[in-house]
Amino acid sequence: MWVLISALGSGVQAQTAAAFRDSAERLAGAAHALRDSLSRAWPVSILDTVSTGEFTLVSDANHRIMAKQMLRLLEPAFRRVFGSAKTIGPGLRVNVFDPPSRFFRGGDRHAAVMELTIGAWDTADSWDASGTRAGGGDGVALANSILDLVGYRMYERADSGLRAWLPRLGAITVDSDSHAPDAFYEFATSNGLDRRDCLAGRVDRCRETLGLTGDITFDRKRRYSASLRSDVLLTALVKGGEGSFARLVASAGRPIEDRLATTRGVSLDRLLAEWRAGLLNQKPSTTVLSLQDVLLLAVWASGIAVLAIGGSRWI
Amino acid sequence: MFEAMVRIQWKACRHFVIIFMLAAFCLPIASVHLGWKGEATNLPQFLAELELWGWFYPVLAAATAISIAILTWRSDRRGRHIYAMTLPIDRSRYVWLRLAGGALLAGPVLLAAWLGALVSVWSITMPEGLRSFPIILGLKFGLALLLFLSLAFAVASASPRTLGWMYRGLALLVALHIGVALLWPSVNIALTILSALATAPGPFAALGGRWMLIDV
Repeated sequence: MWVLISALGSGVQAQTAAAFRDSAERLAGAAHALRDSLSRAWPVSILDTVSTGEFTLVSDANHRIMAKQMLRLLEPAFRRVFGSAKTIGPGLRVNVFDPPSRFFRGGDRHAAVMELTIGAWDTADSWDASGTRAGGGDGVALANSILDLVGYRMYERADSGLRAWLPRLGAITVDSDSHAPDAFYEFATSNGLDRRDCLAGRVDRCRETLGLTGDITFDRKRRYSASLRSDVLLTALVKGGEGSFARLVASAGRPIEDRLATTRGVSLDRLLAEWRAGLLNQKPSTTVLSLQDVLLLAVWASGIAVLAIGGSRWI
Repeated sequence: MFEAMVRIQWKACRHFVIIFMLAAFCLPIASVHLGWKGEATNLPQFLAELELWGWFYPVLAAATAISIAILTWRSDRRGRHIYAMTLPIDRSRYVWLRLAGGALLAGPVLLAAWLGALVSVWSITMPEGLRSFPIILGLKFGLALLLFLSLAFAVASASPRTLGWMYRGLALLVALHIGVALLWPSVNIALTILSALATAPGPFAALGGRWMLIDV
């Protein structure tokens, strides 16, 4: 009992006003440092910073709305795949405005160009070579570009054994759940008896065609492509919940089939069955004609016919 | 009277109707069987080719509708509407009977397309993961046929005076487009009108998309 009380006591002591003040001052100091570092490159008046979780978005007045829109999309999409995992360094800073090249190299002044910088964001040195231009486009497209890069950086933390099976994690998008947009089409139209068997529901064939039987040499005629293998990993990460990415990293050195099962937290066969069922759920509901199309065509055809009949004259 | 009208129309356009029936029956069969190689079929390539074949359906519907509309009204124009004016019915009822007769004659073409689609689907073993849409595709073809028939009849049944107004309106539109394009190059009137026609709720919006007999 005394041990418990003493342990509680030290915990309460850590939350004293002095400690809290120290933390607040440290945070305020970091924010000032960020602002100071930014002001060296851009006038402070044009900057606006929005932040949540792992992302800090810095924008000028023109891109403020886009930055806020992106932030709303980025954080949930990141959490969906990587759960409670932290990004590299203290977080990601995303610049949503014309980059320095606009000033120094005479870039297109009207283009919405942005840079993603990964690393310590509280010093001026953070503008390093890891900054990557993500290109122009609307908020969703830019958020997808950022997520693609974030996924790449996060996947770099995986060990070489995982990368021998899957060189690069596929695209993570803000508007899909656990599957890449084209994954279902590739799954449904892939050739070869083994792959057709997997599609039909034979999980043992899925294991073979995904290279999850120990042999990771990829015969293109028999095996699924990297994008579908990536889809399996994304399914394991998304369905694995909060700590899935941490479990993936922690299981380094074990066979890939074990690592996927550990990431998801169920057996490999169940993961593959979930993956297959999830992909089949992506089947489009309407491919040729929707009810709206039927109504539209019927209304136009009858409307034009009525006009033709009513408006027709002999001469 | 409707029966007599249909008989006259049938005589006027039976050759074309038979040709279009054959084309409508063969189109789905050809589209599937030219790319189908059984188990060895490259499915992505097969579907890509099928999508290209799909563009022939609206073209066939338009060709059928225009042919029936022109051939239906040819005898009236040739006879300067004398026969029609001797009939004890007003103009709008006469046009309605003509249109209904035209729709009836387009029926066999639709039926042929439907049958062709069913035959082509039944003649292959559908691979796992793919689905066939013969009924929906037939419905889309039928609706496209009706739309084009209405449009073609609206033009074909128009009086010379109305046609004159149509031509003048079209010429005015072209002139306006050129004039505006010269003064304000960023404004494209023709493209705006075409976009409005081809996107919802325009009349041709539903004809876009994929005309797939077989798809995922």
